[in-house]
Amino acid sequence: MANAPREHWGTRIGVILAVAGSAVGLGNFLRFPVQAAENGGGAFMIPYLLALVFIGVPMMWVEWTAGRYGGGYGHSSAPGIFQALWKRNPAIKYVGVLGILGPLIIYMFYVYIESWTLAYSYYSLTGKLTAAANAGQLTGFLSGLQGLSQNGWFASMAPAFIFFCITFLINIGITYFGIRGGIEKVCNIALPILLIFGVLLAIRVLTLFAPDPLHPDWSSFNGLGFLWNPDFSALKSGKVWLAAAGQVFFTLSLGMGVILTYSSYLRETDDIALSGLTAASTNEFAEVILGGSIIVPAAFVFFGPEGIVDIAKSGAFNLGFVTMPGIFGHLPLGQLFSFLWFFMLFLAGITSSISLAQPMVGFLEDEFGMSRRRAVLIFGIFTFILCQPAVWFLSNGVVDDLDFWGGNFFIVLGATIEIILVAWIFGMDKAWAEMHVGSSIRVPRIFRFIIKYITPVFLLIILGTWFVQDWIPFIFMEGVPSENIPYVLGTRLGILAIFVLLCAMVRVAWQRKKRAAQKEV
Amino acid sequence: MDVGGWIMLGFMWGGVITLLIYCFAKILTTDKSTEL
Repeated sequence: MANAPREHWGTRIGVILAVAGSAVGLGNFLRFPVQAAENGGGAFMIPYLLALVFIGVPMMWVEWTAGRYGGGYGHSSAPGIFQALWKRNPAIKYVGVLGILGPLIIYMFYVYIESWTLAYSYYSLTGKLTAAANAGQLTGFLSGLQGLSQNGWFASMAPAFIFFCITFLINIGITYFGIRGGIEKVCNIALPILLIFGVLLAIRVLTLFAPDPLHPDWSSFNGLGFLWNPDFSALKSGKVWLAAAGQVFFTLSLGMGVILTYSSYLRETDDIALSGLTAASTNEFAEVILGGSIIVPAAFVFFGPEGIVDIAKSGAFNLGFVTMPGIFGHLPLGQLFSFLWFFMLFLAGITSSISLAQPMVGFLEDEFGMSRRRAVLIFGIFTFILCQPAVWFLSNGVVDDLDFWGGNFFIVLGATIEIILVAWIFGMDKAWAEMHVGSSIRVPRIFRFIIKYITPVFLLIILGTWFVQDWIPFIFMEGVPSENIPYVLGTRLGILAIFVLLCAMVRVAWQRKKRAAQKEV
Repeated sequence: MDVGGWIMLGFMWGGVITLLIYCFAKILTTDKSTEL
């Protein structure tokens, strides 16, 4: 079972753009502005900034450090990396299964949502989308595409399924070409294009000024004010602090196992500290500057201060897929700006979804000695089947449940385990020394204290509070309509089956390696 | 947008842009150049 030499990133910019591409996703443009507007506006930025300093950046450094360290032992996924960090505990590799399971669960629905952005880009260019003139028609357009209703826009699920298949094949194709030839090359092109599109859209929205003479107060700058005017009384609410911590956590792709995998392809003396900080700051540029300057100011200009509150309450997806095309329909060159918006979301989605595939593909390559071609083929067949419930049972609560487990539960749990593993079991002295091998900058010493004490405590508080407040009701399916319960239960049994399968695969892989080592002796 | 909004926006935008410029300037001037 001779493994081929491990792949490495080609350039430092390449790995930074790949990690930033993984972090910059739909949430930067849809989730962040809604969270900020609903939680104190400018005052939200105070807990957001604190969470970035005490959770986001330290966790980013911890994941890069752990990943590169595990990569040095020939592992690119969490089971092997966790085992390398805690060699004396043979059970820790099974805990690491969370670092493959989490991305896999997100992949099961994310690719389908990503395919809607590709479909909307296409229909923006053909003019079909801009023909939908009002919110009612745009809602019908979205539900028709999703197959939730048959209407004049779409008579069947066929277009949605075709766009899903195209998006899926693009993802698999990029993954097939590997770290350097696929992911790095695509991110080197896609991320700059995404940022340029974002800047163009932000400029267009901010130069709308006040287009309606009847409402001179409905201006783009007052729209910015809706997001940035601070309401400091909101800081008394624990909910606002948790929302800010959650936003920072989700936006940086922490705890999923994705950064662990990407950084495992670094060489032993490649820089971590500066590269990790650069990837985080690129993500913040996309979130705080671009994400905050498009959707909320645009909606404010057309719907005013009262309308935007109702729109924000309808959720981030409604804002992105119903409100935004409605706004573009009122602008000169609306088709073009609609295309820019949805294609920007598509690029943000694809640079994230290819990162979700890599932990599983890397696991098959490294722990089973498979060629990339074989690993990607198995991954492709396996995930194509796993994606089907999200495609066909969208209205039955399947995606919400997958999002809860993959996008909330496992990543917060995974990050908490990871920080304790690195800071307390692997040891802060070793972790600090490892972080600075080949480093281009010296991390301020205060972060030793933050990583060892503050970040784990913060994460334990978030984990405990969310578990009691939000997760217990969700786990016990409170509010799930009775007709959806079989689908939700089926989803959970499926996740459990995948978890058991992955644990069995870890066991087989380690036994095979042990036998191979004994034979050599 | 009121003065408080402009202050918060200026602080966050300024902070993010400064950090981004610092990081990329450091990468470009480091002895490893842009290559790993």
